[in-house]
Amino acid sequence: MRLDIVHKPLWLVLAAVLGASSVWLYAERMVSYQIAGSVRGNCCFTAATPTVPP
Amino acid sequence: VTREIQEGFYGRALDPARPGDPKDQEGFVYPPYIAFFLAPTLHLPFAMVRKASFWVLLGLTIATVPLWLRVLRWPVPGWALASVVILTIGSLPVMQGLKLQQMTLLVVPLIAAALALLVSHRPVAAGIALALATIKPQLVWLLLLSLTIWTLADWRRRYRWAASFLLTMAVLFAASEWYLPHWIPRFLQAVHEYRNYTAAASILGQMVPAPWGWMLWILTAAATVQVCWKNRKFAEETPAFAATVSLVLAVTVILTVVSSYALYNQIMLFPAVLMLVRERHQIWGRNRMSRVLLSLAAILLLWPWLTNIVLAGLSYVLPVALVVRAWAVPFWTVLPLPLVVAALVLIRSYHRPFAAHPEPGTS
Repeated sequence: MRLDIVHKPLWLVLAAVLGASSVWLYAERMVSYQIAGSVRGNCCFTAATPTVPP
Repeated sequence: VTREIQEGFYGRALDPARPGDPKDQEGFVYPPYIAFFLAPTLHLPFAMVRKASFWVLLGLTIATVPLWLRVLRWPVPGWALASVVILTIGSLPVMQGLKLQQMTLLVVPLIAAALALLVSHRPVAAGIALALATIKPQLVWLLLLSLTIWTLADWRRRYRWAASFLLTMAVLFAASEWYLPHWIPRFLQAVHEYRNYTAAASILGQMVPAPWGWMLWILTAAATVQVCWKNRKFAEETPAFAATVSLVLAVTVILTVVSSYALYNQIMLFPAVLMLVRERHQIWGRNRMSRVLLSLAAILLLWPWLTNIVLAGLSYVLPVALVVRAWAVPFWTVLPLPLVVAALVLIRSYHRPFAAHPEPGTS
């Protein structure tokens, strides 16, 4: 049986997998890289920040 | 509660005396009945709840795809369904929602389920699901308005979903009042404060400067209500009903006041995008303006995937510290996309005439 290289459904599914996995790779590699630069990612305090006002 | 959230989120409660503290109070801006959803997890370990909620929200998001297709009455082959599911869970809004474990990923499946139940002639269950979806009232207010217009057009046939919705809301409100007396003014106060400390704005407000943004907001809301009024007599299983709710959800995304990073709400564009994909040939053949808007929508929609493929690929070739400088590139299209999608669906609603006999004999 010949492999149909213009088989549209297969290419669409593969394109979807490529696109979707790239979004998750982007999130895992880049967002995680940025978050690693701060303690909590969303913010601003270091672990040493006192919990009572000076 | 807000203090506890701040301690969990920032490491300590915010101090107004410190100018360097963040402006975002991370306040609790939900109706208290959301606690009933979360109550079963109260005594479980946080790490376990976190992991389980990721999988639950992922499963619910996947389930929305066949639900929306059901609302649109669009049977698609298995490979197309698989592609749409993969692209959905690999889209920036869903990815952000899953990372943040955002309640929008619970609310949108509830909305999808409610509408799928309504078009399947199960109005009582639809009303209950819609009432539960009001844990995020900002996502359902326009849908409730449009369904009210639709229901009043044929009250005798359509009152069931409204009755079950109102009854469920009465139970939720009463239980909330018992749980937290006088919660309504406190909730409204929290909403008011939220708008101040987050500098939240609608997507229209973020894209179009005042006063044009507000004028366009009113015009868009009025045009949407007018479409709802025009299509009010069409039964729930008709294409006009599906088109109207798709329009309403897309317009909700651009009109609702949200914080600027609330990309996850764009999951509500999903039925409108599906409808545009299905009708792309008719839209393309209409006029030059439609072709320009459709091309623009396609570019804006595909942009995050294309740029993420490039960035994710480059992150394996170049140092991540270098590639990460372009981290915002995939997000360039996230604000204009809802505007173009809503504009296309709105224009389509004005152009496309529906069948002359809106109501079938029975429903």
